[in-house]
Amino acid sequence: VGIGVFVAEGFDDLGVGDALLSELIASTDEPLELFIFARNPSRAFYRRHGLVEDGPEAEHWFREGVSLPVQRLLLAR
Amino acid sequence: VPDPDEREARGGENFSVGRGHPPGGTSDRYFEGSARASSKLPPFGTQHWIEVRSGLPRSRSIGHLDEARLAFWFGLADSGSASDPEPAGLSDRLARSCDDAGVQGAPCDRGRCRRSQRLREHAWCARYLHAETGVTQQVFEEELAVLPPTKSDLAHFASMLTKPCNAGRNLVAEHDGRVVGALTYGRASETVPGGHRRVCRRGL
Repeated sequence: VGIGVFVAEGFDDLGVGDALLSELIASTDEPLELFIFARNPSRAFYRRHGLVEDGPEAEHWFREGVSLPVQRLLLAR
Repeated sequence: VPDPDEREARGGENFSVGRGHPPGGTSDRYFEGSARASSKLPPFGTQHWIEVRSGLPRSRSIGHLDEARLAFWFGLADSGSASDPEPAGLSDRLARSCDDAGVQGAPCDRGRCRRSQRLREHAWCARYLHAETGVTQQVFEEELAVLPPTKSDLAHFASMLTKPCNAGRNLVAEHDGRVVGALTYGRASETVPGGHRRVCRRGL
């Protein structure tokens, strides 16, 4: 199951994302995954909830010559 | 003036879509939607129909529908009766933790779908245009900022929300009626762009 968490500017650090993701994790036993830009600081947020790196970084190509590394994060069950 | 989205929900000027058997019986004016218009679309659990009011031959008319629009219509037809996620899935835990954060938790039903997808657009600006991510101004403007929420993204999300397996799992946090947080959830083959598998096509 793929997931994603988004929080509006001005509502950072209030626990909004934590509340939503904690609720989902508690309500299902399914493995949860997402892909994230490898250098995205939000990786720390997902790590706090138990999602860990799964496999090596890959390259996401927007178009020829423009790419960024991405990482799959997984909460295995 | 009709809301263009509302007009599309009814199928546009030349088409309409519904669930169950076609009201006019089987004829050349109806597609039996359960057969799927494309192998890329998920199978539909119930019978759907599309009425072609323009009178164009079926083969020609169906060619005018792109996949996203078709999926959107089927999704809306599915949700037209009562298939928004059930709010009963919300737990006391979520209510308490949202209270602590000064927001209200809720399932992401169709009414909140558009607002939660727009939130993603703002989230991109805040989080990705950042030296640490490697997203340059050029990448942001040319590849990311143009992305969500496209019509196709919204159609996909609306369709996904109607599926029973996703009911109650897509969540939002609201503050004064504004969606300020969203959690998207979907099976790997149908996840919402922005956090997961389909993301590889458009962004992360």
